Amino acid sequence: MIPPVEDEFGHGGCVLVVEDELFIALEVKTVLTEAGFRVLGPASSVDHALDLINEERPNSAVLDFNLGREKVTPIALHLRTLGVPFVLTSATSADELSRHRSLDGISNLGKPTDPIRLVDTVRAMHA
Amino acid sequence: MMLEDLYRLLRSGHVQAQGVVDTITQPIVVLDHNLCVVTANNAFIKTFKADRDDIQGRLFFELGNGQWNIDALRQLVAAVIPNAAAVIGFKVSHDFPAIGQRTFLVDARRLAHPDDNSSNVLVLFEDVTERQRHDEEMDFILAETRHRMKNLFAVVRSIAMQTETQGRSALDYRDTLLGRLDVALRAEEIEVSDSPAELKPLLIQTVGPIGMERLECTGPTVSLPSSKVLPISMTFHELATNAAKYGALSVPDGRIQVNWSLQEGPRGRTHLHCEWREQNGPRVEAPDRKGYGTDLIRGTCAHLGGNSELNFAPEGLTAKITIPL
Repeated sequence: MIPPVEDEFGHGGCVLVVEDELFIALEVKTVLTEAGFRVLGPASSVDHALDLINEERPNSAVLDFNLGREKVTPIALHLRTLGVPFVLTSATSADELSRHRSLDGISNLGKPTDPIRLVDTVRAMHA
Repeated sequence: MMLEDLYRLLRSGHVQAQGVVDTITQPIVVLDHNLCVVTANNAFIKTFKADRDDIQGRLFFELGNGQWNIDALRQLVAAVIPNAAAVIGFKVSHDFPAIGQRTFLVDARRLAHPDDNSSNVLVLFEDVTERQRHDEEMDFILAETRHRMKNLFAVVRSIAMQTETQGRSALDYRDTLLGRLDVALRAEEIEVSDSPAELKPLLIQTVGPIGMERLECTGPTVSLPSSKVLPISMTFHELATNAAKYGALSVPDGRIQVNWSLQEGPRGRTHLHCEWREQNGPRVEAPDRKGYGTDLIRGTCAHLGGNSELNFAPEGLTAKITIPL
């Protein structure tokens, strides 16, 4: 599908994926794995994601905004303090996203997410 | 014409006009050229909780402790008086002491006196507070629906992408896809209804009529948070589909036993431990390749921060699933 960046064993770097919708999460994982990244998660909740980050610090992260009744902002804040770059993949309006300071200056790839654009963006974050 | 007839004519004209004005449901007030109240209709008295005797002849902008002293309204009336123009549908939002925050569309029109240069100003109010609230609510619902539609489309797309295509017929792919879509749709309905789902009925419903008589469930009552409904029903759906194709539900005597319990896990989180055990089925051989939904079961449990263990023992498949609730 998308040519691997280095090899197909995840040496392209480690990406945390946070997405509460099961199938979308699995698809994002498939796309990133096939592109040569190692995926941390996908995590479906704030707690789960923070657990994963504490176990291993990722090189970058791909975050959905709404996680059921939770918002992704605590994870965004934590990633900022760790200096881990991240992008959003959310159907939420720019207006709503702009109300959260932890998401200042973060780009949103939208949903459904174009897999090629997703891979390019993650590659750019790892460059 | 006799003076009396003339009086009657005038009087009936006046009574009719007053009748018309009083019948109109929108508040109306007539002001003279000094902006003092000449008359106000019943709707005005009622809507603004005014006393008729209190307002007659008084300066409009001083009424009710100056509640009408609104800049926008002053400008409106000021614009109407020098010109013959009428102003229609001028929006005024104001917090009125007696009736609270309201939004009115105000019409103002100059009524010229035929005999002299004086003129009255007719001001008509239409309360659009409710309509506006309703419109805002509709906008919100529309935006929410659009958001949900986008999400749902993304989900459908992902299910199609995640349903393996290799080594299977188009018919098989289609049936698998439709089965999964069906589970996703039902889960979405439960999630939207916001009522907690119980594990046992969800399990029985997901396994469907084929397993109804052959499913034995043991475990405490477990209320599932809405976010766990899709993953758990998808896991059981995949297990049941496999059982119907290759396992215990593919032969008449096969049975499935499902046991579950709740246990305290790390960091004080409650975990659901669930065991799916197939019995009296055909001899089981481990699938020679991935797929057969096993990837999906593993991925689903991992996604929730849990895990799954599938044991393809010759006497029947056993699946052990642990999910934090």
